[in-house]
Amino acid sequence: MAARLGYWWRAAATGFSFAVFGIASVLAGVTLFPLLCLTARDADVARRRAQALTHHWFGMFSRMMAVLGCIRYEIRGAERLRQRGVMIVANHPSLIDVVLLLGVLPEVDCIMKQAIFDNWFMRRPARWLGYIAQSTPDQLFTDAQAALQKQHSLLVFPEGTRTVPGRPIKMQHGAARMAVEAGATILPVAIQVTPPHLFKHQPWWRPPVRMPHYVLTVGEPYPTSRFVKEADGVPSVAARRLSRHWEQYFAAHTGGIAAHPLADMAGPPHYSRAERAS
Amino acid sequence: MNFGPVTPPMSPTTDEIYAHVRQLLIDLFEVEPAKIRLDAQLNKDLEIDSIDAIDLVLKLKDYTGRKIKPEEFKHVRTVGDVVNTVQAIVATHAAA
Repeated sequence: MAARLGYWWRAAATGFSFAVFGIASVLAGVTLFPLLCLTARDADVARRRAQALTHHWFGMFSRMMAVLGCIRYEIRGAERLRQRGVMIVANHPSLIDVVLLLGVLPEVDCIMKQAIFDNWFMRRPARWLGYIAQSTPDQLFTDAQAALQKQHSLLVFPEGTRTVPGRPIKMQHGAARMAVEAGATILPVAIQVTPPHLFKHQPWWRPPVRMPHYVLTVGEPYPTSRFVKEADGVPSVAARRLSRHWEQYFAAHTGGIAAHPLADMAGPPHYSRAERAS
Repeated sequence: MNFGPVTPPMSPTTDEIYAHVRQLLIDLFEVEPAKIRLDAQLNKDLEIDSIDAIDLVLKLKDYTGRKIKPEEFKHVRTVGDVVNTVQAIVATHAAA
């Protein structure tokens, strides 16, 4: 009975959280955001304010989801996130991992698809935030390098899309190529969530039977120059080796492939007759 | 894919193009030589993704000495398609 109640509670609380998130984000987008950013004396001040607002709002939202019992989460090695001018590389198992991560990252430039910069509503907040558009590769590499030189950190999800539980983590080579071209220092953040939660194709109203537990582990930073040197300076080779390194690293630090991807998403818990009778 | 109903005997130039493409795949992307065949799919079999394709096209531009529009490689799926496309480019270049 308790498990069943927990399941429906989590489904309802997740729906409630998402509704709050959507409404509050739109409201902030037309009030607080323009208020803070339009009064800023330059783009850099606007960027810092917009990123601080996002950080606090996402942190609050993460805590709300935890308090309501939708999820549990913890950050390991959070002190390493204070470094500036690093390329933060994370795996992407869940819809809300980026929210959890931005909730603990006070200042970071994200890379977003060009479509967001073309959207009339998202365009201005994205500009204020100083986020980088995924335009042409050349433009993206130039923008990324410029951001790192200004000691901004970048947040990148090299998979490009959420991981499908039960399938190996597959990195696109573009992110690694960007790191190689920019001569970036990599700070890996491995995101593990058990049981799988809000993964690709999983609707929020079908939460797992057990409460999802998120563990975000910040690893040790390392330079990409080692990969470039070992590849004799051929950037395409260096990028592929770095991608492969990430695939292995994130598999090893997230428990590898989820063993029973379907076990926890079958729907409401089922009970034996004995349990139901009790 | 685009070989037509009868595959014509390969002219030496086709062989040369294939050898060049093969070497590029090995040098640029460390593709295992054993995996490179005319019918090997660039994306599925050789793990050449969009960013890699840009490098490949750049190198082929050097090889043919001609500007290559990205559209020309839009429908390229296999190593054979690459060879055919390069051959078509070289042919139009020679004719011009």
